[in-house]
Formats: sequence, structure tokens, C-alpha cells
Amino acid sequence: MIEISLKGRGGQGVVTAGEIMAKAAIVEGKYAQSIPFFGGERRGAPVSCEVRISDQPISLHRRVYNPDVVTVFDATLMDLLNPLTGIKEGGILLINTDNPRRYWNRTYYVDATGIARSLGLNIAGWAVVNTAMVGALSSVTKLVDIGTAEDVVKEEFPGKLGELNVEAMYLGFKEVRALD
Amino acid sequence: MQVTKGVVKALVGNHAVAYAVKQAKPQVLAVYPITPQTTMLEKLSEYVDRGELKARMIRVESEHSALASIYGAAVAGARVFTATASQGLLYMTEMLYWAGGQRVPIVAAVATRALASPWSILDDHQDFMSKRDAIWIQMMAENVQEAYDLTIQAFRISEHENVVLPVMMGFDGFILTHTMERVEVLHDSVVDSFIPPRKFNLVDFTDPVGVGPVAPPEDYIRIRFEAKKAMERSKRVIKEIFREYEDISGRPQHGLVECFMCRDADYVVVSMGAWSGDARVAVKRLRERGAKVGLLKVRVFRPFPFEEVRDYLRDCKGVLVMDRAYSFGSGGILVNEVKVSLYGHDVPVHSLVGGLGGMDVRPLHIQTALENLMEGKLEEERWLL
Repeated sequence: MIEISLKGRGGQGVVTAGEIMAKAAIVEGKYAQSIPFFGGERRGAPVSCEVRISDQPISLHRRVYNPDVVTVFDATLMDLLNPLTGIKEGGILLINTDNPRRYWNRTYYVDATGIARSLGLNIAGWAVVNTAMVGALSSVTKLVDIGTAEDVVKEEFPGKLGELNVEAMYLGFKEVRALD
Repeated sequence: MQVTKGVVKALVGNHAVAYAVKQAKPQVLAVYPITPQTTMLEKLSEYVDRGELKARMIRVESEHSALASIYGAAVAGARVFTATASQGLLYMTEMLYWAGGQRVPIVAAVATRALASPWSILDDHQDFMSKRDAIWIQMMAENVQEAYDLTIQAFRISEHENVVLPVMMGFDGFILTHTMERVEVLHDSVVDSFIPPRKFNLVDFTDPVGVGPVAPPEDYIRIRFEAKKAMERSKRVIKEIFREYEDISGRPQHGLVECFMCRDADYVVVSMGAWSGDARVAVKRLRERGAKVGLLKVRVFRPFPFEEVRDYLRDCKGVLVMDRAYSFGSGGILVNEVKVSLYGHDVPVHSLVGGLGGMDVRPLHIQTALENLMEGKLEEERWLL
């Protein structure tokens, strides 16, 4: 079983990203959970979501304490929340930034904000980076196939919006890099 | 009965319950929004708006009115549904007792949530458990699949001619309502034959009567006695309906309780709701180390399965009961029922109280308590603070 922690800010699409991952895994015949966390959510406030993916039925309902993968949608959260708390040894950090730092020995980065902005994926001034991040997650972790994620995104966002999001996802998939 | 493979979906708990409700085809709904139930209401409204659920959605100004309006519709012969949580369930309480006392078939989903004060939107079972005397059948789900299954079953149970009681289906707020999981849903045609249209009416419109009038003492107590008997009769009916559902779904439905590795166990943990899954993990880990432990999950809380609980636990060396709700000045609500079940049997029963107001409980907490129980080092009541 793999556990993923997703951290971002309200408006970036963190919960939807978790649901796309879980849904894609379930479509592929696996078991999955997407668990959003709610406090005083509003645009800009920190938001988190946790995902479990497994070949076996999942009976846990506790929170995730030792993630295999930590995905950070906004680099300013690195100092604010300490998202790496509890990360497994050998775990992966994926971060949305165009200016990566070595936060962790296995750091991957992608400029998801740049991708979203280039495609006009903005809501109320916020770049909606979730699909670019899902693409990057799929590329780095291989937990779900990018084609399956594409089907899920098209189902969630019909029409033109879906096409843009699929494009963002493939750009995230291609542009994600490991920090040497 | 033919098992038809269902359709696998990825659904959050609220949408899984809404899907089950759509398939059960109630004719009248009245739901007032409250966290963490609101997204279920939104989904149901969408179904009604798109014509996928041909039902009248009554827009009400409160939970009290929500239940009052569907109470009337159910008396008039309609299949009805409502859902609520926490403060909303409290506000609905006067009508809960009306519906229970009159034995009106109603299904209500409760997205369990802590009660004020202090204020909390997060999960515990205090709202649900505080309604244990309202003459409602009460069932509780462990995961999203079970929330879907129990909702379908609730309509059948409520309308069964030997039962005719309202049914409350509890599922943990956020932990299940907002968590997306793999769910296998039945085909509409399978649900149609499992829950045929309601056959009986409570009133005959050619011969009008008043419903719920003032009753002199000798009638009042007799009506209450009948309700008690209906509640007792329902045990057998619920088990039959679970078995029938097992046949059509191909998924084990157990009975009023589920025994997991508990048959030969010396020490058993008893629980209800979502954290039963975490208890399952704790039990498996201890079994791997050779400890004879098991889990007894309570699926139906009212009527309380005294016989099953006694039969599974009477020969245990120790029992640990997990409570996410508390009767202040008395003790954990579930543990008290388990103690009553074991009256006359010499089995030590310990209480583990936790998860209040959304406090996370991990398998490790449960494992430690079980280990302490086996070592004889567990206090009679432990709070996970």
C-alpha cells in the first residue's frame, strides 16, 4: 500500500487531485481512498488531502502519518507546514516550483503554476495546478497510468475545460524533473 | 437468487448513499443542509433536477420540518428519505420520537458528527447514539461500500410488514462522507426487485383517521408495548434481508454483528463504525504475533444484538469495547450494552473511549490497549486524549 500526502492552498485543486488519483487507481482495478481534510477552508488557506492506493482492500481509516510520497502544490508551504514530517525513508517529494531547493534527498519538481497559467487555467486569480501535478505524480510514481488519469479528467471536466486540463496533465508529466 | 456482478465506481460516502437512495426510488425527500451531510443533499437535488430520481424534494427551513413533512408523506403512503447530522439531528429530535412512536416507515441517513459544545464539525458518534431510545432501528457502516449497502437494505427493513419502523443509517462524518473509496453498486433492475414498491398504507383514505392523537394511559402503554415487540421481531427480519442481499450482491453481509477472527479468540475488541477497519488492522497484527484476539463489529445497534454479543463473548478472557460516544455520569454507550449482554457471565469488560470531536485513532492505540488487556494492565476505562 502506498500513501500520498497532498498539501496546497484552497483554490489550487488539491482535493480534486486526490480524487483523480484515487479514481484512476480504482478504474485500473486497484483499491484506493482519497481523504480530504477540512478546517476553515477558503481560497489561499492551507488544504490537505491524503490518498491510499493498494492491490488489496483497504480497511484503515486513520490519517496518514508516514507518507511514501509528499506532494506540495505551493512552495511557500514548505516553511509554513513542514510537509515532510513523517515521510518514509526513501520517500519522494514532488513540489510545484520553478526554483527548486534540495528540501529532501529525493526531490522532484515541476512548474505547475507556469503550466496552468500558460493554458489560462485560473479561477479567481489562482492558478489551478492540480492536473499538472497529477501528471507529474503519474510520471514520478507510476502509481496510475497517465492514460487512465486522462479518462478520469475528461469525465470530471467535460468539453473544452477537460481538454485544457488533459493538456496540463501531459505537460506536467513531461516537464517534471528530478533535482540532481 | 442470481448474483449479477455490480458496477465498480469511485464514490465519496455522501454520493454513494445518494446513489443508493436514487436506486431505492423514494417519492418524497426533505433534507436540510448541514456539514458533513450537505454534499449528499446536493447530489440528490441534482438527481431530482435531471429527472433521474422522480421524487418531490420539499425545500424546508429546518431539520424539524424536514422530518415533519416526510412523516406526513410516509403516513399518506409514500416512500421517503431524509438525512442530517449533529445539531440538525438534535433539532429533528422531537419529530424522531413522533415517527418512532407512530411506527412510520422512514429512512434517514446520519453523517455522524460531534455535538456542541464546544463546537466541532468533525466526527464522533454522540449524535447518533443519543437517539437510541427514539424507537428507530439503527445501523452503522464501516466503509463507503457498507454505507451504500445498508442504505438499500434500510428501505426494505423499514417497510417490512413485520417491522414497520423508521430506520437510521449512521456513517462517520468526513471519515466516510467525504472519503472516496471503491464501491460496487448494484444494477437498477436488481435494486428494483429487491425493494418493490411499498405495499401497505397506514391510513385508508376512504375511512379517515387521526394519526398520533392523545392516547389514554391504557392505550398509550399498549402502543408502546407493540413498538417494543416490533423492534424485537425486526431482528429476524433484518437478518433475513441481509442474507437475501448477500445473495444478490455476492458480498458477505454477516448479521447484526460481524465476527472477524473472533470465534477462537481469548480477547475481543468490540466496535462500531469506520474505526472498526483500524481495529481489524490491530487484530491482524496481533494475530501475526500469535495472540488469540478478534474483532466483533456491531452493525445493528437498535435492536441491540444481545444474544449474538453474548454468544461470541461469553468464553472470552477479556473484552475491550471502543466508544466514540459517552453517557456522562455513566460510561461509554456501547460498553454498557455489552456489559448488559454479558450479565451473569464472568467476563472482564474494559472501555476504550476515543475519537471524540474528530480525534484520530490509530491501529496502534487499539493494539496497545489490547496488549495491556492481555497483560492484565488495562484500566477499566481508558480515554485516548
